[in-house]
Amino acid sequence: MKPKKLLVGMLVVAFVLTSVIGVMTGFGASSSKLPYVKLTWYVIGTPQKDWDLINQKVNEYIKPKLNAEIKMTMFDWGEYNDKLQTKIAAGEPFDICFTAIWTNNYRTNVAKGAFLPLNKPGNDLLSKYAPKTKKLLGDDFIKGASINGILYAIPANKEKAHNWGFIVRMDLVKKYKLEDMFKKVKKLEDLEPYLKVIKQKEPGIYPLGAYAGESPRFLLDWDKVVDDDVPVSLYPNNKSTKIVNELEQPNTKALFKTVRKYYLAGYIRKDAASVTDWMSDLKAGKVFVMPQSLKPGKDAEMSISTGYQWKQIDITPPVMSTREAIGSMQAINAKSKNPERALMFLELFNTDKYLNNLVNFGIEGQHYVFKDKAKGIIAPGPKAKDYSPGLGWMFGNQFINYIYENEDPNKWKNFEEYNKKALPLLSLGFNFDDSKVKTQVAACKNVWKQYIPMLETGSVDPDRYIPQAIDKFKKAGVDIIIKEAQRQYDEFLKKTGRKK
Amino acid sequence: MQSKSRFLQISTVSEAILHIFFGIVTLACLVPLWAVISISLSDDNKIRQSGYRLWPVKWSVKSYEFVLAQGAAIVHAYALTIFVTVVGTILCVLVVSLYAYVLFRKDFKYRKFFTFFGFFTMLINAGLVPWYIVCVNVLRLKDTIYALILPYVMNMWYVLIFRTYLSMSLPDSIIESAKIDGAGEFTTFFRIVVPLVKPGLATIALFAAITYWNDWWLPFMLVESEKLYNLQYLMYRVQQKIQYLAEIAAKISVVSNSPFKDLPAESARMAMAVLGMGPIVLAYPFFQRYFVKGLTIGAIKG
Repeated sequence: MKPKKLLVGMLVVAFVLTSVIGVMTGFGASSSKLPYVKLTWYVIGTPQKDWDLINQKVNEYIKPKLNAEIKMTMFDWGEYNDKLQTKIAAGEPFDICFTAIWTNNYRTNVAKGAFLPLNKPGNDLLSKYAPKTKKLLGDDFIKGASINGILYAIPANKEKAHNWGFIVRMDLVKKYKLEDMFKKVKKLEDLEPYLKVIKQKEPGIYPLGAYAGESPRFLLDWDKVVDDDVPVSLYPNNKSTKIVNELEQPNTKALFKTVRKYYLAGYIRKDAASVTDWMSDLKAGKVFVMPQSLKPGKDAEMSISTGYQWKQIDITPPVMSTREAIGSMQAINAKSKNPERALMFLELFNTDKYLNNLVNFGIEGQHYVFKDKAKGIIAPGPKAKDYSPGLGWMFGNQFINYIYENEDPNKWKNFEEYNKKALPLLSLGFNFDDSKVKTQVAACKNVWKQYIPMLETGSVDPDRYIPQAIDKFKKAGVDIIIKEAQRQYDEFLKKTGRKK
Repeated sequence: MQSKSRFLQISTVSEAILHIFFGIVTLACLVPLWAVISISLSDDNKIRQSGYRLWPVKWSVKSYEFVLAQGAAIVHAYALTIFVTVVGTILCVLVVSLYAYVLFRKDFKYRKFFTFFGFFTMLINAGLVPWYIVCVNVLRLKDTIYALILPYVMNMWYVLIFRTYLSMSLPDSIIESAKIDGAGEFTTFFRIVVPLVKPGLATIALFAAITYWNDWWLPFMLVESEKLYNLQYLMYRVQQKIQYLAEIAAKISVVSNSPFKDLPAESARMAMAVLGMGPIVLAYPFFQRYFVKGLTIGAIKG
């Protein structure tokens, strides 16, 4: 009876060390020794009708494993940030929350001390309670999500890079026999002949989608140092470590000129500069080509969410930047009463196929049905509309997710290859501290609002307006920001030993 | 000499000018309302092509179908809002009128203290986070129906209005004569005072009803489960979502497009607004008959 002996031995050792949790070769302790706890978890999304039912199922499943239950609460997109900021300010002892660069801001919260450090030297909770998750994410990605070398939240394991390109409406491609565009289009300028055809034959359709905030400008793929709407950037190919004002660069000017040409030719919506809701134009079937942030299978995802068939054309090479690393994460509250158990839950959630898919897709036979159980291919079930959050990118680990039958069955394999192919940027893990230049940043954001939407949609002449914009940015203090950013970045490069 | 108007002691010309002026003011109030209704009855794609119109373009009730297909949530929120409004209004009127009546009675010993006590909290408050902590940790209101009612039950501003109204419209001798006839304090209040100050009560009731009906702030702060979301908050949430997603579109599209999937169309938003206006519009005519004379604070004693 060797196992028994081993267990008894272990128990004795544990007792002698008076430690509550005996860590057995990298596994968490068995639940029998853990006290029973209740966890709380806040996430963002469109609230689902059967949410409570799924929560109940989750509890049934984790209770014997972790001797814990968890109350999951989902807040809508618009309210999540405010609700969480209130809770954090009031010091509520919740356990886990979603955080990212775009909501419940990761950097700000870390600066406030709201999140628990997960891999502090001497108290490496991550290796202790979530070793598998640590391995899944890989060192590069963990570095990217760290602030000053310490990780405060666990990024979702998904595509770890991004690239930019176009999505194209397939029904129109087939109608006008434009299939050769998938071979020929390598840059924005190559689109012209195809846009022309659509312009002539489909008067009700905008050949090229360019809107305020979502436009061909992204094809330059600037590695933004401060924020999306501040023109302080690095070139995205590790060519140089010099931080520049992107508007002063020749490639920006060339791109805006092309967009302007397209606008004058009538390929872009006339009032585009004041329209932000591009998705409804896509849904209404009014756009032929749309610039998009891409990943493998993005076209299929867009087809599902718009109701039209799309196909993607990759333009820029994939890069791994800090943005991806902190685009979607789960943090543990610094005021949590049971941080270890919360981390154990996340570990289980990131590695347990049943649990992860339960939260992502609901209950088999109700919210989804299997088409091919071995490969994990599914289709919407009879009650799909009561539970289909569509948040795989947020919930833990996409590589153990099921795949809808209208998606590429090799989706996860493609993801892995894509992640391997991606170029990790030198700036990975660099977090700009804007405390010294807050006023200048705010001023630059105002200038951005004034000029960039007009330029990116081609509504105004770049020859006249780019110099104007540069002048305004200079007055707003963009050079002060660049100087400060460069100083911090050089320091960061020295510290991490990354040199070009 | 100019001819006199049939109704008023002014010339017909000035009367015409006044009529036109107030006609324009009335239109300015009604046209936006009409626009909302007409957009809610239009086909969404048509709106996108031709912009807003004052007459429904391509009549469609799809938006209402969409909103009602959210089904349980909307109907439930409706019921909840009506319940909270009714209960909240009754409680609010009761508490406010009792407090004000006591402050109005000159023979009440602690009158000065309680006036100051209420007034002080009106001028100086601790701020949002302490308020939140008191509601959540001390009163345990979080995620309960009480959270939607209790915070608005006592309102010092209404108390001051009502006390002023009492001292203007109730002679002290009435209270005295009631006492002489052997009425107790409660009998005096409910049988003698209340019937005499109905217009004042109606005013407070209208204030309270509108406050409760239009409130999205309490569920926003104190409620977590969908079951306790009221109508206004559901709408507020849709509005917030649209604004927020427009703001962060570029940031989030790098992660995913899933949030954009469920954005309601323009006409659906308007349909929600129309449904949200519903009953409270009817509340005005109901209270109208009590407004004999306007309530003013600190007006000159006539």
